[in-house]
Amino acid sequence: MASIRVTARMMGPLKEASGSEEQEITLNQNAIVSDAIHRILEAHEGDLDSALLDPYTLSPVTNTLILLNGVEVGNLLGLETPLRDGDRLVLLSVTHGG
Amino acid sequence: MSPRVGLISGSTRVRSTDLTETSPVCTKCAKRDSIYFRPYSGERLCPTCFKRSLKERVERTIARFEMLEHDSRVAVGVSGGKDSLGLLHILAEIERSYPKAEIIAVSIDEGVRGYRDEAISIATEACGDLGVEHLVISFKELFGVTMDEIAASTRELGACTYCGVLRRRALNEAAMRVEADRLATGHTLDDMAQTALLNVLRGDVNSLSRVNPGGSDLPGFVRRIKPYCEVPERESALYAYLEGFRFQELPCPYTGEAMRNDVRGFLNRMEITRPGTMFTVYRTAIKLTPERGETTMMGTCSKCGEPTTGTVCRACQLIDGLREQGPKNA
Repeated sequence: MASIRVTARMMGPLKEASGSEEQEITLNQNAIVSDAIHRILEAHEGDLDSALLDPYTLSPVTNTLILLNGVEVGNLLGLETPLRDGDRLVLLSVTHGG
Repeated sequence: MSPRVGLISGSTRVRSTDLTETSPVCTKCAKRDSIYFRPYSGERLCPTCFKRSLKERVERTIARFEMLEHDSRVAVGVSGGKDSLGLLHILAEIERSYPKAEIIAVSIDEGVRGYRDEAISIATEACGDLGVEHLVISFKELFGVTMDEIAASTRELGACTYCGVLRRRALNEAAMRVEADRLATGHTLDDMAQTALLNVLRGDVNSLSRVNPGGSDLPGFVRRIKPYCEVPERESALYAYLEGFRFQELPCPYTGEAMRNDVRGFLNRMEITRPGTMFTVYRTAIKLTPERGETTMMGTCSKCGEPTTGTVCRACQLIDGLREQGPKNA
């Protein structure tokens, strides 16, 4: 199956926890936003789980603002929004800093 | 191995028929593409309308709680985080329409090496960009101790308790030094709802009925106002992102008041599945608060002379407690 490449930019404490601001992810052609996030979590071998996932729902939307090409994913199909080659994700922690 | 990502997301917040793979047009201007769906109102907003709506909400909050006069001198507490910097940007914009009003930023250096250094430098940079005067005062200067020293000491209470009480005192001191008649803080809707629910869970009826974003005129205190109190933290984060200003990214190393974290998680989850929950909790607390004008009788602290309802203020109690708990703390 053909693959696509997506860039993910981490902001807030996620940047600190991931150790880098940007990372490129390779995914299957029919990947959705949650696949990209799962791939990011796997790449960090658990180090990002507590920063990114709600401990009860295991969802990243509770505490993180997720934008796809500048659009908040809640304005699209949420975590089920399909990804395309060259897409840019931004993950910004909501619950930090006053 | 990381757990599979849960799919509680935008797709469960609204009817699936409302969702599309591309951005619908903005509900307000009906011209530009929307970039944000506001679940509690059903609006879809473009960046311009989103930012304008946030500013208008702050203006309405200021008017509703009679927070400011046309000639107020406002000290804005700026931590370097997204919320206080967002508030500073919006107040600076509002101030331009009121030539007799003034804004001064005040920051507190609690003395958390690495964390607070970065925040103060970001706050200073933002104030320079906005042309706003900026005063920084430190825990060390005011109380003779840093948060790093408090965190390393023998103590009975959590670090956040010391930090909260001492920072509140320090912000009042800073506001008095710049001769402000108001002290604006960047408390968001999330902060307000969390505090209200915490008070319910602790059975603290007195605190629950003292939620007053407009503040009170108390002798010895600069009136504290919370113009950001109806801005959800999620929208504060989006505003900071859209405006592109730099804000602090490091988490505080001492963060983690366990009960507040639990309440925060609960409310955030409820807000996703039941949009508007935070507004409901916040408005319930507001309804329980008496009308402005009722004042508490204040005395002065027998140790430092600052206003207090008891004989010794909370800040002095905490500092004295640290000193009494061992030579390590002296």
